[in-house]
Amino acid sequence: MFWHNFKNCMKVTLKAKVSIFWTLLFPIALATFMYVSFGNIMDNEEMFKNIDVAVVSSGEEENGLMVVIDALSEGDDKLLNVKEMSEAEAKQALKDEKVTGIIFADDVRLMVNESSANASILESILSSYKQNEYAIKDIMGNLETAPNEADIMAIMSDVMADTSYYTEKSTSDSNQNMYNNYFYAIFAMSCLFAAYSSVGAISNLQANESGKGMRKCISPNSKIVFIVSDFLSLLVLHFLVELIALLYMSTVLGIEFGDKYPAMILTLFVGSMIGLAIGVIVGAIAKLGFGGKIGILTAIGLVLSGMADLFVNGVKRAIELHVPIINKINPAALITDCFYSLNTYDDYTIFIQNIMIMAVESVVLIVIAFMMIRRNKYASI
Amino acid sequence: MGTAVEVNNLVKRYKDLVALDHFSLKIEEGEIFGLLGPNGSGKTTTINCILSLLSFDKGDIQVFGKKMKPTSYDIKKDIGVVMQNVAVFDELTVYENIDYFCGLYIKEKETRRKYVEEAIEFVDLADYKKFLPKKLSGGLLRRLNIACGIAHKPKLIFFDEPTVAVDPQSRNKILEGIKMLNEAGATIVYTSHYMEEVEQLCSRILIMDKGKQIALGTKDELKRMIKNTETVSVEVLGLGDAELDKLKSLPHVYDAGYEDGMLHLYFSGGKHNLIRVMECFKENNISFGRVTSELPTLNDVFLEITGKELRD
Repeated sequence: MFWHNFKNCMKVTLKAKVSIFWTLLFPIALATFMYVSFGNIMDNEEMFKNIDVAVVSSGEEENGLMVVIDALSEGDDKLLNVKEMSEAEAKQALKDEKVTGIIFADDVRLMVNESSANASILESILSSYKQNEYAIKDIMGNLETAPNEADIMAIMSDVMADTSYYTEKSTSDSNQNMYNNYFYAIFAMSCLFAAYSSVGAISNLQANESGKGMRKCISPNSKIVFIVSDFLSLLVLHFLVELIALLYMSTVLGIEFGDKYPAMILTLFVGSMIGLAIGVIVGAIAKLGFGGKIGILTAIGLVLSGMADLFVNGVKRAIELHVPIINKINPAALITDCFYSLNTYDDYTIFIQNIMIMAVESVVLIVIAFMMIRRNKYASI
Repeated sequence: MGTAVEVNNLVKRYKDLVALDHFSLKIEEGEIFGLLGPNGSGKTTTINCILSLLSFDKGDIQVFGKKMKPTSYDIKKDIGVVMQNVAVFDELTVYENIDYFCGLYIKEKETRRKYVEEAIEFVDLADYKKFLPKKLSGGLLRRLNIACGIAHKPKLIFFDEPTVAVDPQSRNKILEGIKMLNEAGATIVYTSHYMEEVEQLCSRILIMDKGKQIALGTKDELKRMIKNTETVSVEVLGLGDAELDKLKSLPHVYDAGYEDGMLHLYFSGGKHNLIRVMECFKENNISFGRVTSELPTLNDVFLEITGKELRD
């Protein structure tokens, strides 16, 4: 009977083309949409392009700004693309958006048209120069004897030195592209959406909700056989959907998920499990109609996703500070944390812990669902 | 032959509404047992309680001599149900639907295939095996519904109003099929509010209303329970009071009515009542048109016992 029901559930789900289409389309469409929206910013190498800037200088300025500008506009990885111009030409170039800003070297002044990331970089360069210039002048003014050239160079070197008081240590050799987190969120939501399939299957097991449920209830079979075979059948299908989505993102969209694909695939498998198990437990609530169950499921999905930062940032951190246990049991948070830990750490401790929690949660939910409906006699049909 | 179903003192309440009020019945193996009653009388509730789908407040139910519980799998394997509403998978073909529901009872593949083919032949759906349910007419869908309920060859089959919204041709096929199932050894429990079907099909009939048993017996026994044994109706114009009184005074007439040119004479017992009516018309020179003589129906039984029509 187990395989009979397993095959039938798979056949019915596959033949309900609309449902399988949307299940598959959701992660693929959303991933494509995000990929198109992010565009080139996902490619780290493309993020820093040199900034076109006009410099207006009389050639007689009494500061070292031109030295700094020259230093920033040399080499293959130069930050600035400097064009020396007259003030009128520079203003015209700024107006025509040929340059991001104008640096007036004589009085160390910046002119930009609008605020932008590049304008902020220019502003930061000038601000930094002014601070250093002030510091050097202040130090030299406090010297008891007049500094010679070597002293001046030493002071300048000390002030200008970019001293770091910490050392950078990578937690992983894998790709740590921050934009991948958005794609992990898609997987998490897609896994949770599996609940809609299982709630339908379990409703078809309830005599008070469907004639098919009535037929199953009067058949000589234990409900656990129906629950487990439906669950596993849907798990296979949803896992395949997740794999197709992963394949699409990594090959068609070219998103680099690192080299931990087996662990990612395990996350998708267990994520599908917990998503389906949520649908099973909601489907087992006998006193609710199918519409009510869908409503509850939608609410649960939104709340869990919201608490896992899938909509806005900061909620998960607030929960971690005040009620950390919620993050330890929230499936949406567990799935995204699994991906995040794979993306960030070489160590698998958090990953394994989260996988175990989700697996246990799935089993517990299914057992509770079985207890709820195993010997159910309905008050009304 | 033993007892197929025994229900004792069953009480089922839906909040303040008493759906079954100390209801009892006993169905012997091999019979076609009719549950007759108007909509809302408790027929489907009774079946659902017997099948252990519905909880009940009081009473005891035994099927094939054993107490019926949700986990009575040994009893359930011998039960088939053709429910009121069509319950099939829209995504599966006619064959696949019957195969799936049959497979809930029959594990062995070859046996199942044989049973499914026989069920398809039985309901005459051989030409529609590969059709999806949405392509079938209402009558064909009903037949598919029946096939799904009986393919596993159960010993006890519940038919819960299987002919609702079915065309006459399909209805006759369904009723013929039920007789054949009974002849093959199945005990049939048939619920309906169509008295003609119950009269035609059932060996014993239980009439119920408001969750209570009103009457129980064969159709002849039920008809004998009431006063009326024959109703003679005559189309006649301008019947005077004196002539009506003469007709009322005929032997065995216990009531008469004349309205809109139709005379109805109600007899209780007696033979040759129609001849006596005709002789009276002739003696009094009364012109008349169409004449009919009707034996009492189950509706008359229901009407006399409850004071209301069966289909009210």
